[in-house]
Amino acid sequence: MKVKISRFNPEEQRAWVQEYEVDTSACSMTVMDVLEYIGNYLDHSLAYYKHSVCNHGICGRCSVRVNGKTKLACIERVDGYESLELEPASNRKVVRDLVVL
Amino acid sequence: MHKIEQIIETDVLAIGGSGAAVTAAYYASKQGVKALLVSKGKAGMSGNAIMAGGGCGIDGESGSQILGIGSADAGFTKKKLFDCLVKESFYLAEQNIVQQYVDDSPIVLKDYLSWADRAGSKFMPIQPCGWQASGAHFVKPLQQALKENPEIRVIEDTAIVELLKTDDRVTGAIGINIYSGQLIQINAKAVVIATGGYQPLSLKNTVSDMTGDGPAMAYRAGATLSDMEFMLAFPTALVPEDMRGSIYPYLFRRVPHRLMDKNGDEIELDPDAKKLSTESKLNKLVNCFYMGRAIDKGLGGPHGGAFWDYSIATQEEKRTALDQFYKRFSLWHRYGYYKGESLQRVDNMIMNNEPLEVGLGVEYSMGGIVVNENMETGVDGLFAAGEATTGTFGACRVGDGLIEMLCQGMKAGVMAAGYCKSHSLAAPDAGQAERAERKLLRYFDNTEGIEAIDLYRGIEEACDIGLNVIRSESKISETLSRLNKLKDLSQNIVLNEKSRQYNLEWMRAIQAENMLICCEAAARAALERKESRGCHMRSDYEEVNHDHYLHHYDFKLRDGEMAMTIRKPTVTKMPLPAGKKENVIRYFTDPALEYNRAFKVNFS
Repeated sequence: MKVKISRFNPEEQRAWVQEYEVDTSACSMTVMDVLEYIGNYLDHSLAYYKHSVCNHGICGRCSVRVNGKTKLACIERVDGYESLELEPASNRKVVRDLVVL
Repeated sequence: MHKIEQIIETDVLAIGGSGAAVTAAYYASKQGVKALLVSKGKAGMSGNAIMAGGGCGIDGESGSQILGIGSADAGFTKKKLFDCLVKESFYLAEQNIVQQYVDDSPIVLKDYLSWADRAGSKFMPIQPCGWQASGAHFVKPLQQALKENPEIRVIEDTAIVELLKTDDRVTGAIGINIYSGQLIQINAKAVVIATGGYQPLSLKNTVSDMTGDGPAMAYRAGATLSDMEFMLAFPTALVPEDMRGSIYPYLFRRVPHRLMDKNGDEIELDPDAKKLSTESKLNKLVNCFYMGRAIDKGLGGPHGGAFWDYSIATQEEKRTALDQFYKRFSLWHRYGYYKGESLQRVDNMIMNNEPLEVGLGVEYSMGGIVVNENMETGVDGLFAAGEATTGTFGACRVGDGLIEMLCQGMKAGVMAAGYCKSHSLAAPDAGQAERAERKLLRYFDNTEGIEAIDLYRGIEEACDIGLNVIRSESKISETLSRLNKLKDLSQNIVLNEKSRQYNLEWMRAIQAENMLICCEAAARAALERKESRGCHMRSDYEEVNHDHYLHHYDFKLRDGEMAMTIRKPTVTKMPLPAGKKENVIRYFTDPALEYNRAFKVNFS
């Protein structure tokens, strides 16, 4: 699956879209699983919500826009999508990549 | 250039994001001193309490007399609760700390229940004197306490990463704002570590930050770690894969099922063990023993779990049990959901008699910082509370982590406030803050070495081998050897991302250092403990051996090395037993133990 992620570098104030390819066919995955896969294996520099999160849809800290709609990354399954466009939650100050204040 | 951007002064610094830190800050503040709570995540809801799936309780005698709860079963006395906790700990509990748990829990519950009431938490009463709720409802009262007491200063999303000392006394700490990457220094008269435990395996059912920060920081500051080999695991979801880590299997344990291996053969439980599993709170231990042994023998499924086979029940029995569960839990979750996740697919699997592969995930570490009944660590100015400590539950927790966090937080807060009254702020030893700063920022200058995220994953992979549910000499040795190699590699950690703002690699680098300390202590103790006791189960030494191993393994930093010593548990009431038991299940089913936690199981 093609995964496009909106990146943002606060030091350089540089924004760009980065594309990754993730095999989502082997098992059922959430958006968070996809982010973890990218963060662990493809690009260690990616910033996404990861500190003090519950991973099961209650702490509400991992919201991101998935193909334009705000979702909790940890419970949003990717099986219904052909490709993913991940952006930081709207109307919030972007700290880095998908992380907002 | 000096990189510490902010210096804050307080009387008591409570480090942590959940119940132990909130109660420590609250009770310190009530004593008239300034309290500052620094939480790695959202204050009041960033620790493991939010993940709680069951309930918690105290003895019925106190519930009836102190809390005035009419439905409390006064027959489950303080004495009985004490007796249960010590026996459940396999006699490794520190009896003075168990006494504090029994004595202080009704007192702190009084305040906690009033916060809960005002916060609108929905608690369902359970016997003998307890409360069932969801994790979110258990933490609402903590947020309420902070809201009602604005004099408690709160700093969120800030990880405390190192303690500062003046001579031999802890007098502050250094933290990192996770968003901005800025360093802050806190000067405090007393510090309470309430950061929770550590969870080193790759299967997670806890929040994402059980990285052993508090125990490791305390260890570096001179405190002792103990019982690190004991970690409580319980049934945790492996399927559907996107729900991995959910604890729905544990909650579904009352839906009739049998255990099965990958070949479809039943994993047979000793009839007495079955009784323990269904009629007592020892379900976790029983599942670990039987499921763990099958998995260890290579009979696990493709995801590393054992199978729960529901075909033994009729469709009607299953439907009724599932619907009862949904109805009960709809008080806190959407009907048919657990936490934010729909259970529809799992429901379909159960109704279609599709075996459910279930793993064993660690939810709680019994080990941690050694404290006395006043939550003093032995390091001047340093207190600890909650899961970060050790002493309450010994080798196996059956009692409640939620109660431990509240009553120890209260005690630590009161004691730390008292300490403040006879101590003043002191400047940390010259050069110490700068050294901590250099240590934290050194990663950014490295150009080659191990990548932080690979290092952290390497630690988990190492621990999956020898610190999992069933252990053996060769597996633990392999873990230890890998950890030693990773420790060497951790001298040079490299980060791809050089920005300090929300830098997960940087956080992982710092957490890896903490995890390496906790895991080394755990693996060394596990190797040394050539027996099975509570949640430390060895395939090569299945016996519980009171004659040789009824002691703690303590770890302390001496001359830059981790030194191990042996210590007997503190006895105040119940003498330590002698002899051996065939295995951890037989320990409980032995009628001579006279184990009775408000129910009666007649063993064959």
